[in-house]
Amino acid sequence: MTKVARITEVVLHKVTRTFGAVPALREVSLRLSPGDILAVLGGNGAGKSTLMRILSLVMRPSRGEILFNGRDPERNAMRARIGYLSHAPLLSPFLTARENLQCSAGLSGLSDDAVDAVIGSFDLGALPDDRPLGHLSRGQQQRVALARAFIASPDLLLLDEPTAGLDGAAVTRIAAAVKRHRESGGICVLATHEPSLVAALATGMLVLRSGCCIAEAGGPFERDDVEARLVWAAAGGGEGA
Amino acid sequence: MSFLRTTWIVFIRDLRMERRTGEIVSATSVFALLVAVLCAFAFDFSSATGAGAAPGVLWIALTFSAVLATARSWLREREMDAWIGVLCSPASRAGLYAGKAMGLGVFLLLVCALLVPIVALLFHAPFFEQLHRVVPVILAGVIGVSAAGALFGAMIVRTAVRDLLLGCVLLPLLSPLLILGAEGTAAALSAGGAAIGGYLRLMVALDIIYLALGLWLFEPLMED
Repeated sequence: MTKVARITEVVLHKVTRTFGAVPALREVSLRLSPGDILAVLGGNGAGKSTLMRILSLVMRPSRGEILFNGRDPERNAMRARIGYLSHAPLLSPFLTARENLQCSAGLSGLSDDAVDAVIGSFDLGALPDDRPLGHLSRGQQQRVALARAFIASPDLLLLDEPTAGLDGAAVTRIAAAVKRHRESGGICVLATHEPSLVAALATGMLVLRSGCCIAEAGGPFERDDVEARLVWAAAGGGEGA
Repeated sequence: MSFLRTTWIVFIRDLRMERRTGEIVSATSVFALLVAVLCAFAFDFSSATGAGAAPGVLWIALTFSAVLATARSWLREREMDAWIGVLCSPASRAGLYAGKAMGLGVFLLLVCALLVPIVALLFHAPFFEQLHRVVPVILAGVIGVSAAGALFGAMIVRTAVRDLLLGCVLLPLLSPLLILGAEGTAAALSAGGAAIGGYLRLMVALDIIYLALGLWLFEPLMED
């Protein structure tokens, strides 16, 4: 596998993505540096997931530029430095947790030692080894998904509504993982509807509506302030936020 | 991440999923056997005409089974967005494609292993006597069907009308290979098996075209 330099800067410049004639993201620009945790807010269909998929290099923008460390990334190699956690686990429900993690590790050029390491870090040892992921609870599935996102020690962590449907303990676990990632100099982009998570973690905020960036702000944020912005974004933006 | 290692990991992943669910091989086998049995009654299997229909029946059953297997192989990747997780890896896209095609090929060969004896028995066709000629024709056909299925299945399964579209796109695209397969099998079953070399060469040429297209187009298709 090609050795890839650590991600020290991510830049999106006027990125647009359309599906057929329908624009999902319109001329969105942003710049991220190590230690940044950018919260992406917006209602359903605002373009958060499209932004995440473009940042994860799974999807190409229709127009605009995406630069890693100031240059057009070598996409396959750069994916090794990116961890992506979505509201869906991005794992096969027909394989066990270990089989899923082994597959992710193998495809990232890692050995089974990396699997054992994340199983230890994310406390997955107690999960049944003979039951496929589809038979586990939503919280257990999301823990395995979190372990998958961290398996290759990514520099850029993308969390797309990671706490949807999870209990308080699971949300706390995700928040702790994001904090550790930030302390180790990582970059994180967090799309969420959860004001407390934004208030606890975010260093910056981007508000999307119908694919357009309608507001940007620097942290830290108060929970009430985040809630007000969420309501404002859902209502369509305008004066007052 | 090397091409061969990626191919192997994705192939093993498909086999593991199939071992746990058994859905592709079992559903397509039942479907293929049902087609063969229905055709046996329709074509009067006791007559000489019935025996002559055996290659056509084999390839009709195999073709529709392949469409079914392709759809299922990609549909299960949509559950929990599992394939997005695979695409997030730094693995070679060509390797991912080859692994899926290889998995699909093995499932179809398993279906053939059940289907060929049934067609041979029902139609009194000399498949077992001519096995050394029939097997290369079936192999060439399965490779081509898997190569095209892995490519177009990945693309079409993301659409809302996938069940309709997969058949509409895959069947016309595969028709040259399927016609050659049926003709090649008929030639293999005939007394001399004289023309089989010509059919096989054309089938291998089509296999190479389908595989080359898949290896070339899979990455842009996955990212768009």
